[in-house]
Amino acid sequence: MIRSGQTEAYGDLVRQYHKKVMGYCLSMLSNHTDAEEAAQDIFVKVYHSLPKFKGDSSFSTWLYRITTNHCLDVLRKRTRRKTTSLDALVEQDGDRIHGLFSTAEVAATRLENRQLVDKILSTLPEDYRTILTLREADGLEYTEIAAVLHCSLDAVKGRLARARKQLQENLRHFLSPADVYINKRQEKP
Amino acid sequence: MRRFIPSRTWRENRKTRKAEDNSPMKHEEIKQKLFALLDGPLSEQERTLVEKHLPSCPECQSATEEWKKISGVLFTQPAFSEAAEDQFVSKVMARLSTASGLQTPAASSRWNTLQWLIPLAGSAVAAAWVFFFVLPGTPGLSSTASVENYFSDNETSFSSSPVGIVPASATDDMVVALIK
Repeated sequence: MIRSGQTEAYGDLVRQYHKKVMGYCLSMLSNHTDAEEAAQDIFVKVYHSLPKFKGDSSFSTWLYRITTNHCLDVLRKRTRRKTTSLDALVEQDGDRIHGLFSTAEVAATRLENRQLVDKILSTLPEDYRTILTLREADGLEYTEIAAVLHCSLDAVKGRLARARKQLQENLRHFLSPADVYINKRQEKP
Repeated sequence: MRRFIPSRTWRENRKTRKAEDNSPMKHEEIKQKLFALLDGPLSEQERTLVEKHLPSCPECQSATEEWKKISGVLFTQPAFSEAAEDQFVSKVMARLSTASGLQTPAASSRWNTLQWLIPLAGSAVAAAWVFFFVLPGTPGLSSTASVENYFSDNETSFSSSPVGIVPASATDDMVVALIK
């Protein structure tokens, strides 16, 4: 239908996958404006790439692959973005991060918290951030992640375990009882 | 009713089984599988093993709770309203109509190819002009250099890498029908 020029059908397709693509872009880019622009670019790119899609594979896997590549491109192009060092993060935003994890409610959707979430996730290498987003934000199964990232199931398991370990390690001081974090702050001259 | 009096052997066996359940090796093995329990891909036997271990191990319990908290704070996706969705779809369709006059994907794909071919053809003509008319008059250069040799040596740089298509785990029949 879309290939034969019925573009309204493509509108339905965009509507169907909007949440997935937009949610993924938000998790990867942590900025609503950037995420929306990226999601639009992705759907435009997908439209033009439809002739290359043979239909013998999962469309969502193909879409996730395009989305992942596009988000990684955006992250690489961000001139202002540099990998945040853990020490700098603790120094600048330690109190806010501690607050983020101490509140019972999930407040990560608020704009100011999104920026903080971005800072926390930018302490991770891109491949760790990607695999965690695919698993944790989008809930993809191991086999689906392997198909999107074009790697083996064992590689998915290994990378996911390492990514989780590193993120937990990075956040160790903010997740422990409050006194641990406070003691760490007091240790600093 | 006879009271059950555990024999010494029974008591010893029970002690050994308990020690095995909490032995460092067993614990490490189970710890590796903790996230697999959250993610889902565990066999029934493994699931039972982890679920049995969890209530008796504070370390594993705290690791699980800690991860649930991290995931909840860092990876929770916002809800999108229907109005936002409509607006988004309109924006994408508007971009498509202005960018390509709403051509069919195949036509726009051909145009995209042409967009690359035009500068490529221009460069080829310029290169041919340099090789045939400029370089032969330059002293010290071999007259055997040819355009064919140049391009055959470098043709790999012109090969495109199409968007990869991965094997399907589950086909989205509806989507495929929509695309066709």
